[in-house]
Amino acid sequence: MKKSVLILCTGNSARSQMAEGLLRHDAGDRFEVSSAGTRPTQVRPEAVAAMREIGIDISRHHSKSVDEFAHSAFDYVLTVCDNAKEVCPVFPGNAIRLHHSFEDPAAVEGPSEAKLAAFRRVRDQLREYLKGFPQS
Amino acid sequence: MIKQKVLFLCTHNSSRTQMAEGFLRHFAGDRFDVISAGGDQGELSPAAIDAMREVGIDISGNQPKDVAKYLGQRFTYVIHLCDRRKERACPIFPGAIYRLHWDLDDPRNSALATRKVRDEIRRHIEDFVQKNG
Repeated sequence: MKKSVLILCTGNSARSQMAEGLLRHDAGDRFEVSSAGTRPTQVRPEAVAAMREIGIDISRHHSKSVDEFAHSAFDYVLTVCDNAKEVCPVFPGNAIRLHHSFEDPAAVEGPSEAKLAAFRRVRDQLREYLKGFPQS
Repeated sequence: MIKQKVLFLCTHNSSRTQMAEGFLRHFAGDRFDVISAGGDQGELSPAAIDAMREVGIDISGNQPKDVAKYLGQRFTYVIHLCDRRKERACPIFPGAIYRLHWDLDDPRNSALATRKVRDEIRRHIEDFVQKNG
């Protein structure tokens, strides 16, 4: 049976959205993947663009509140916010809680090319990390 | 009348959330179903029991509870009494229709700090009941 994974951050707009797309694409046969945020906003267009470059379509994702998952039990809850700069939400219960800090690509200032480069960088870091999921 | 469900949430469910539960039940228990819980199960604070006794409310029989017990339930109001920026273990709870946040410092077991927080909580509860009761 597939293990259920909730990927959690604050906005559910960039990192957790890309992570959801990546994990489902790379290991969707083993994991049932969802993502959510404590303060959902909207999926960043740069996240959609960076994922499209590697052939993964997340354009239909939307930014969701954890409250949409009130009736779900998860095997794993993975937080992907940057603990040095943000405070990651703590999900209650028996789920195995994992954390890995990733910089917030949406916080990068500058021309659109520099922003997109940050999304690509974080996308690649997420993919590398998720290859080992859930071992680390 | 259907009672609205309220969940007070903090780190250990030992002091702030216990006092909030006591006040809301005392002032408007006929209108709200009140539960409090924490990210883990602490011990009921003796200072909170004393501070509430001073205002005529007995919470000595309350049990701290782990909020995981309520996963899967929905609450009309989930009221956070801790701030993640100050207390990293301050949990979230999925299943709120309305989410409120009152930033209250953990009084630990200090009698003085507990009284101060008790009075802050009382003001918040009175305001909450007036707006939502």
